[in-house]
Amino acid sequence: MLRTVLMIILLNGFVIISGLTAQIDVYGQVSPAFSQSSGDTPQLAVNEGRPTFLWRLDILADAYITDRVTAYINIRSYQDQIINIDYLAIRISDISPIGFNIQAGKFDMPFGNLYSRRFPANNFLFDLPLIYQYHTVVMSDYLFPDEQAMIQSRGLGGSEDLPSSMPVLDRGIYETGVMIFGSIGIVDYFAVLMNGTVSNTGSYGNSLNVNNNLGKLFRVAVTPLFGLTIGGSFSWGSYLSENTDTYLPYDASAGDYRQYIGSIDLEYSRGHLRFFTQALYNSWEYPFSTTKNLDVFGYYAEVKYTFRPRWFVAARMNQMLFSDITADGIDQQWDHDVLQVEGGLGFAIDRNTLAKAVFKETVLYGPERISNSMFALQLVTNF
Amino acid sequence: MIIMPAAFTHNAEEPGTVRGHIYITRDSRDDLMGRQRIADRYLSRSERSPDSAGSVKPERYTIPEKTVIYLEPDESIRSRIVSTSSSRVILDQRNLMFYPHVLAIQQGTTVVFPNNDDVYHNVFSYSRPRQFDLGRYPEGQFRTVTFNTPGVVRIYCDIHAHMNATILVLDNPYFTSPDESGNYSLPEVPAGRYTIHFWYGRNLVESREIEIKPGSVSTVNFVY
Repeated sequence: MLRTVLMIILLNGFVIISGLTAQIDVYGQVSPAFSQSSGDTPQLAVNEGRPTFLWRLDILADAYITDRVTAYINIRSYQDQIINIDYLAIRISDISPIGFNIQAGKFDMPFGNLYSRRFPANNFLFDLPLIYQYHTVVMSDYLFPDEQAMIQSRGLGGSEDLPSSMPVLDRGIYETGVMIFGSIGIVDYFAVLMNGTVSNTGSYGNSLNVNNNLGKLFRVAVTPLFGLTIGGSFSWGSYLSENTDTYLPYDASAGDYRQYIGSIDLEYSRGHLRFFTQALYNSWEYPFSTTKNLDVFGYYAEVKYTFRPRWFVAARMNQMLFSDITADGIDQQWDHDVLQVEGGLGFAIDRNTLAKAVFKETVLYGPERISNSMFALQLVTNF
Repeated sequence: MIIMPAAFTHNAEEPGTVRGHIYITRDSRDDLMGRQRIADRYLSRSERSPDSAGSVKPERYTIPEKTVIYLEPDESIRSRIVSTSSSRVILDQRNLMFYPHVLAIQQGTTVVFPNNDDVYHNVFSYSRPRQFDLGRYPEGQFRTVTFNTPGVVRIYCDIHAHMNATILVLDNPYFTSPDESGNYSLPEVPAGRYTIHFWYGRNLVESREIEIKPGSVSTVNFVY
């Protein structure tokens, strides 16, 4: 309650102060939804599979202090009514003769091409791509004692059993740091120093750094022709919290274990078609005796087609493939491979209001095949 | 309102003229460029304004670009007045804005939507008289739409939320926009009773009943 009050005061203060000094635009999205899921994978069962109404609120404010200085804020809340600040940053533009920009604060990390699809009004489906939200068994503050223990936990990421389990990319990848970015011809570039890593951001914690190392991120994107952008991103950093002391080798610290992740992405749009894809290879260093890295390859491909005014269809295919570790002398994958297919139908009720129906089928390939399905209806309106 | 019919008699078939002046006395913010900068936070390269990190200078429409005066005939003369056009007119997209902001056309007219920005645009409308979605197309290309049903058609860009325009599809040719100083003239209007409408920006501001007598000159001024 106190936190909520403080956030409201902060937002009001932002609006009032900005109103005195600059042009300010405040806008947002409201998106109620209904979801029904089934299956035995905890993190894929919304509210344990009960039919459930949900909602999300985003309030954004942009304050133009001067021609070159802008402040941004994005406040987000779900039905749990906890207010999160995703974005609180100052951008200083056109700093040098080559015109680069600096941004500092908390903001979305430029890894991949998710852009405005973070928001329900621009997401053609219901959830983010699998690589942004599927929790693996790797945790940010706890180490498995050995490979066998990890093997036994496969498929339990995101459950109460593994409370700090991490996705490869932490949802919208909002983190606190500083970014230099700009464009040279058809090339966009980004360089970021941040508190955490792309798999373990401070989005849902206190946003402070959790170990003695800063995360690094670089991205380059080229737009060779209208509508086609090809990007490459690379990031590394220490992903374990400093308070991870169980099962650490005696001469090691949490900061010694890093996440390395590389990604290529492509966006193409023309006419009524939009297409996005991203493929990544992620490696978490891990202090097992026989395994040094936990690797995962993941990708998604997403298409949207507007087949008549107001109406569109969308589909997304996601997959995550996990590397082997050796447990009891047997090579086994350290988590279950996952395949997810999503399909959606959208209808624009008016210019600012969108209705979506989305179906999602997710299969985990463990010793037994585990199927999970989800159906969602969502309304989104901009204001 | 000032209506001054001519004092002498004319042939009943002789047309009249409506003229007047538009007085703009207050500001209208609905055409400001500012909101484009909001979207830039998340737009990709082919969508965002060239100066994405900084500001795009706000522009304002001129009076001719956002004002239309048009006549709606009384039922008694409608059959003589209503007509169709097969002409082509342009609704331009440049500097991340539509030009003009309000476009009056006669039913049957084809509107050309060129893209003169170096980013994608995606023109669409969900208005009842004409729903369409032209998809994304780049600089130097254009798409066309023919408007056969009278009514108000709201035009938007699916990418740049601040971009909007209005097309007034009319069933007769008696419409015009004022000049830069606000003066307008509608000549050769068949005599009879009409409603004269003043449209400014996104809104119908005022409507009045008038009677145009043969050979007369009627003066109708509007204030916003």
